[in-house]
Amino acid sequence: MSILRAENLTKRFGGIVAVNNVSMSVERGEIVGIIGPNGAGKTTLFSLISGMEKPDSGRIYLNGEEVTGMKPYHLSRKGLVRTFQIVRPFRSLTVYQNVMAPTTVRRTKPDMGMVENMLKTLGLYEKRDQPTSVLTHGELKKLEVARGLAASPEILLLDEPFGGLTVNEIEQVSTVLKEFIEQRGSLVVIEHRLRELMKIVERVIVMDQGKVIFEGVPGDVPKSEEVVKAYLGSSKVLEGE
Amino acid sequence: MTAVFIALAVIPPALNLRFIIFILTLTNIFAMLAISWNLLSGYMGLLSLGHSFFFAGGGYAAAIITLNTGIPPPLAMLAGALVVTGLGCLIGLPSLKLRGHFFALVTLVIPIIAYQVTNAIPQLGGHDGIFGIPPISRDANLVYLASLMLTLFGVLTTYAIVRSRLGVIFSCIKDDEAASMAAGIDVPRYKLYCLAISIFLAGLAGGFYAFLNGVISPATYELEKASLPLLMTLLGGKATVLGPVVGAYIVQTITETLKIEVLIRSRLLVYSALALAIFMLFPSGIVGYFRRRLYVHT
Repeated sequence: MSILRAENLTKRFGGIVAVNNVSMSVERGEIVGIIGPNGAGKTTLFSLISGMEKPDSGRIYLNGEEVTGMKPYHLSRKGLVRTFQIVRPFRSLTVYQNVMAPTTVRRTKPDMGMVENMLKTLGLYEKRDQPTSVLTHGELKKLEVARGLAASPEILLLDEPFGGLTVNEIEQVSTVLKEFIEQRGSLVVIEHRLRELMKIVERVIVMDQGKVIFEGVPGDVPKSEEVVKAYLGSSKVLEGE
Repeated sequence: MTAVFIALAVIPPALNLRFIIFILTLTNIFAMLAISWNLLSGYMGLLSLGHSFFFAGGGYAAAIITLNTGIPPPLAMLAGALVVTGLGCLIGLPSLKLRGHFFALVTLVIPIIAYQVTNAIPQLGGHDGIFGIPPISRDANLVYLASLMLTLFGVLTTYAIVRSRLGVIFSCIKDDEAASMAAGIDVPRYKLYCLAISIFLAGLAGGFYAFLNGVISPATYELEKASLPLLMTLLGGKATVLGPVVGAYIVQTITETLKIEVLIRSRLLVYSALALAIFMLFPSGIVGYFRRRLYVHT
């Protein structure tokens, strides 16, 4: 059974159809990448799945249970957690308190060893007792991922986790994500840094103007005419070169 | 801190100056109001400009309950605070969905509506208010000590909340609602909890105020009662445990020393000047300022 299944999701904002009849599913232990030009509806799709926005139509299933329209905090407790493209740290808490916030809220006993290891891998361990104001942008992005993982999700939706990171930092984030996958976690990753993304994903969904225009293994993405058209305009241009 | 508390408990009654004791009792009541404001607006970040409603509402409810049923004042205070908490939550429920300034605007309007309603209903005493509310005790020293206990209760409540899981949740909601939801926080529910606790404390303070004065009138809804806790908390340090109390003592001392005919008329001007000075000199309040210095040195 798929851990996450979305059927025919549609979301309109005024006259704009941000997400148009999108269906997708994610298996346990799988990493799915979502790419597409700006405004393709990737983040809106995340908002629908994570309960931040209600879809106008369509259904969402988590572990076979319908969760359409459920609030983000209920979904988070059911094991579906998202991170944000623009970092959203809790500014009045320390780095460590930020990471622990999801477990504090749920009154669950956190896996201290796991959290400590993760912070060390991400290079945040030394700064764990500092306020978030001392962190660089890259560190805040890593904190966002750490907070998502510390919520011990079954499926984690990452919105551009590599944005603005150095090559070294991307390596760190990839490492903790791979560990998460090894423990049968599932990931959906929106990313613009395609080269780094292709290294970790098994399957890619390409969106353009609210629709899924391609779905398949990373190697086939450049071969799709639709994808090339979405990114570069007309494929004729390429042929002409 | 304990020493200060004991000093406050022992010295003023020993000196037995009725005037000073009355002022200090009043100060403690306002400290409680500031504590209640600090919980909602300081820790949770929901700016309330309508705490005078919760304050006066608590006073009215307590007065009506004790006059109609003969319940002793302390119990009536408790009941009054509960009544206004229920009422406040009912009004607050829809407005909690509003973000930022819009919540503040709604809370600003509520006391104005309440003022008109109270004025119009004779059962609530109309324009003149309710008279003849029995005092908590004939002994002014005893009343003063009770008010001191009230403040201590407020401080301890704040401390307990800040140190608990609830405190973390309130901070998260203040910092980022969307991230809070993603972290699994039921934001509307905890906003309501915070509002309820805040109203309850404000209602207690209001009840005490009614018993101290022996009268409660629509004038209690005035903007000054809503702006005082704000000024006190900002001066003392918002989102600090002791800030509101420190602020209340300073502001109240200034207010009482400035009670000269000319200055009473211009007290809003004095308040405004004070508020401006605070924002420029101590952006995080007095307690916040010392806390920061302490952290730098450790």
